[in-house]
Amino acid sequence: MNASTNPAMNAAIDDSARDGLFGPSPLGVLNVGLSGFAGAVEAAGGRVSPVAWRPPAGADPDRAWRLAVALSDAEVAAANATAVAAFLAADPVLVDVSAAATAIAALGGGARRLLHAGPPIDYADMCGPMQGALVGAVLFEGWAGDPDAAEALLRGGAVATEPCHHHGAVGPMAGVVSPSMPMWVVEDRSSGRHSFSSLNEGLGAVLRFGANGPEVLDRLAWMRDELGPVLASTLRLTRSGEAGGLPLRPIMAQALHMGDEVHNRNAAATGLLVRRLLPDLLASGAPVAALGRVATFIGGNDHFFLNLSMAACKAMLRAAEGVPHSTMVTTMARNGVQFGIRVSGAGDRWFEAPAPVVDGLFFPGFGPQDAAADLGDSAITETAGLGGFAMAAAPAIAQFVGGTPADAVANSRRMQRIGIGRNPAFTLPPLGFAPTVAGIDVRRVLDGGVLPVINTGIAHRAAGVGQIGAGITTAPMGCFLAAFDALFPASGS
Amino acid sequence: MIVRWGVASDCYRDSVALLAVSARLAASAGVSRASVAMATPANVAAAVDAGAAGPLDAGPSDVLVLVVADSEEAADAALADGLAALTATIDPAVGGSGSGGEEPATCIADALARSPGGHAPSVALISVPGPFAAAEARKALDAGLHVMIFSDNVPVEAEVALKALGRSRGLLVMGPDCGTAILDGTPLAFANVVRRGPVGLVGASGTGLQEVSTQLDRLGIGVSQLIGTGGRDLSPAVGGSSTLDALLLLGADPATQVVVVVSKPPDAAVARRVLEVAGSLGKPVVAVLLGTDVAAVAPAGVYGAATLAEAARLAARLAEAPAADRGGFVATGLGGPVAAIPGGPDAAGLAAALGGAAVTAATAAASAHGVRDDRPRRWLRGLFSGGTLGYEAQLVLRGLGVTVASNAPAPGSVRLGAGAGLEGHVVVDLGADEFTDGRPHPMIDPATRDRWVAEALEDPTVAVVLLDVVLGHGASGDPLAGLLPLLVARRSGPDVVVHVCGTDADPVPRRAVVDALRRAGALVAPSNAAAAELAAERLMAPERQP
Repeated sequence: MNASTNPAMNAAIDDSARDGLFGPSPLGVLNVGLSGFAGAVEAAGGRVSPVAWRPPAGADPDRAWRLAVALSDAEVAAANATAVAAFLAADPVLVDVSAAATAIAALGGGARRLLHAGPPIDYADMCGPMQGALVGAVLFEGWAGDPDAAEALLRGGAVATEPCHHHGAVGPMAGVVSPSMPMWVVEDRSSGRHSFSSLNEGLGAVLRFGANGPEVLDRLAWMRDELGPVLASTLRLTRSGEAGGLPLRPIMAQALHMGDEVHNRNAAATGLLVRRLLPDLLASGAPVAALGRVATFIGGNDHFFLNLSMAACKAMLRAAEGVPHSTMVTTMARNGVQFGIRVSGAGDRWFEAPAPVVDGLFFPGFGPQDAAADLGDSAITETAGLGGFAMAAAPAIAQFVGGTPADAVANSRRMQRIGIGRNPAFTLPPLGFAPTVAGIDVRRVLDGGVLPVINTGIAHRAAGVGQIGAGITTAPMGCFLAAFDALFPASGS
Repeated sequence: MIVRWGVASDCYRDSVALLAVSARLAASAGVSRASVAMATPANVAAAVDAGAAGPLDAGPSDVLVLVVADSEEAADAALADGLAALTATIDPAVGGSGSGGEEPATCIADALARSPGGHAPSVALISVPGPFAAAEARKALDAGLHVMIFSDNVPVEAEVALKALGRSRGLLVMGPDCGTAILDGTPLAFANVVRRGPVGLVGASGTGLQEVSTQLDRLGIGVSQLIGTGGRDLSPAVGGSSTLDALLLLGADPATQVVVVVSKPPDAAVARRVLEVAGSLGKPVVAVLLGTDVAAVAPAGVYGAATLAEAARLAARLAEAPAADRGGFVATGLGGPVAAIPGGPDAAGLAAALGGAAVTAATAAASAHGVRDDRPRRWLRGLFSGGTLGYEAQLVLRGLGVTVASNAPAPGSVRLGAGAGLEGHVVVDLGADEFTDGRPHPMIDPATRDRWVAEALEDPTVAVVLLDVVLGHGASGDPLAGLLPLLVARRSGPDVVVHVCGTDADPVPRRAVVDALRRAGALVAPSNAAAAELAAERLMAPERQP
């Protein structure tokens, strides 16, 4: 028996001969459970690493065991390394602005189809802002003459609705995209794949909060007829330059060092964007009056860069999709009713849970009773390690969403606990220029119970009222539990 | 009676924290009952049974607070107090507003990420609820840590799988249901403060290991390692996996000169394997496998001992003897009466307790062949917090002709029928599952034990009450709070015989406990086996007044 049957044990004995029999001295004890056991260890000179344990994996013992096995699964580790490498290798470059009907095949050919934010949902089940935005889009496309007729088309299915995410696109809040809207076209240089987002309308009465009056439709028409074409001409010049377009990662990286987290604060990034586009904008041949209106519009909207940030994040995350066995989250999105995620190793499946109500600061005259549940595709920024994950970089936004700079730092630190890798392209100055999270790991969300934090605006529950506040929310655990069960099914199920 | 309940959502608290809040509410004015527990299906059902009306929308990550009181005001106040106490601490997974410091780790991976390089822990102590313990142990093993699983209620298949995994990686898995360890001088869970020295202990019996280590300490001999392996390790299913690995570790440990292996009765085949490996270590091994005649099966170099105290004495002599002389030892008096050690630290105390007389084989034999005792006070009540101590007491009593009934019967004892009245000689293991479901173990909170003692002292048929008091880390900080008043108050009644398992260096020093008990009229024996003998002696004592 002695030496031969258990070589590993003998190796351990040899190793430990340098110090104590059970490890380096003083003994280090990981205390998982009753905190009272720490005192005796410390009294004897031992070192305690405490775990403030809580039941993992949704407090389901069977899933907890599957999680423990999955956490050490070499195949998963390799798959996640592949997915993260693809995410980091993606190089999103702004190359064009073109009509959605041109950019997105499903919206071309005269199809009466609209895109919306979040996971799939029937029109009848949608929240107020999303219904209002879709009605506005039908009116904008001229498919109906008045809101009632538009609603009838939507209810009857004569106008189809599908998630933006099913077509490589993303949109903030209601996220509604119609064929004639101008879209940012972002090319991932590592794959040649294009991702898309709408152009930001600014604040006030806007389609993305469900407003669909004449003011909203007039603005959309101007964006279609003037803003889109001017930007397209501009980007034609930019595309002919050395970089073949406008690389977005450097702008985002720089903005993180200038107080943006490129979700709820885009002031710096918008300025950087304008500075980079300005020469080509002036050279685009657009009439001075048109340039003036474009400049006024962009200059009046601190969030103009948001949609580009979203498209860039979408491009990076698409690169990580479809890696078998990978537990990396590739989508987080909300439709105002359901919160949905998609995971690299589970293909195109959505894993959903009810969208949370956002806790935050409300504008005067509004309160939680007025709020729609969490809404929009903008959580793609958090999925890419930005937004709430990068909040440490944006102390100014912490106050806007009802927190302190210390909270912002704590949030970013906490999010690092659920990351697979780190993204050296994006760094956070207040954390000593620590790299941001590269890839949320479903397993790690289940293990420590730390949920992805999301910085977001709060929409009024009724269509068209607009933004009534901003705050912080978290992705619901139910999505991650369902995704985990799909990847690591219970035996017998 | 007014019943009130409330839920603290997504608020996991460990059992000790829950019991603390529970005790606080129960002590509130007007409250007759309070329960603070995780809202598992069983606990929710129990709350409904207790009269909690309405939909109880709570899950296992929520805390359910139930209060039964004699007025609405009292019930509402206690409920509010309980919920406030639970939510006073910040949820570590969510963080707190403006908290500048680092948030606590909520999983093993997080904790390890914060302990890089040379500061990484090498042992994991796992005391989470049983259904989750195997998963945490698996994570710790995957991280390269030895594992001690304090939790019970872990499926045996999981234990087998974890121990196989640990063995394949050169890692020791102690437990599940492992209550004690001292690794490299560091106490884990329930352990006494004993000096370090040349004797390595391994065993599937928590209080058995505590008894041997404290007896060694009082003989001036220290412990190199004390390795608990879990109550099921020597079962056929587990096959002694951890005990065998621990023996090899101690065999190879240069600081260990003598090994003691301790167990309640193991599976016979497993016991043979353990003794075979023990005989191959190249150093002397003392085996006390309670209820097993070790001498009959032990190979050369393995010495059998009948009691825990005897094992300690034997190990002490082996540790003190020059190596060349060790071959001369012969296992002593298996199953026979245990004599007080001449010159031993407590010999004087024992002699005094016995009123100058030594326990003799003759006394025992006389009782064994049954002079019928028809005095009104004639029964023994053994009330134990240490499972192995109660078990050993049964064997010693049996050896002296006193047959007992027990809820945890040793060979030769009768199983105590559920619900039957206490008739005859009885030894109760108050740490058994039926007494600890939803209540603290009597080593932590002796209240349950004290209620049984109070009852036994009142019982006109009881002649002797036999107790253990287990000291050390993890044990009650005031073990006599309820017991002393009971002893001091009485004018007559049964003899009370106590063994105090501990050392003078323990957080509650043994000497102080012994002195207080003696002042209160209890007879304190120097070891658990000696206490059982003394109890048997008092049972037969002709001078005892009916």
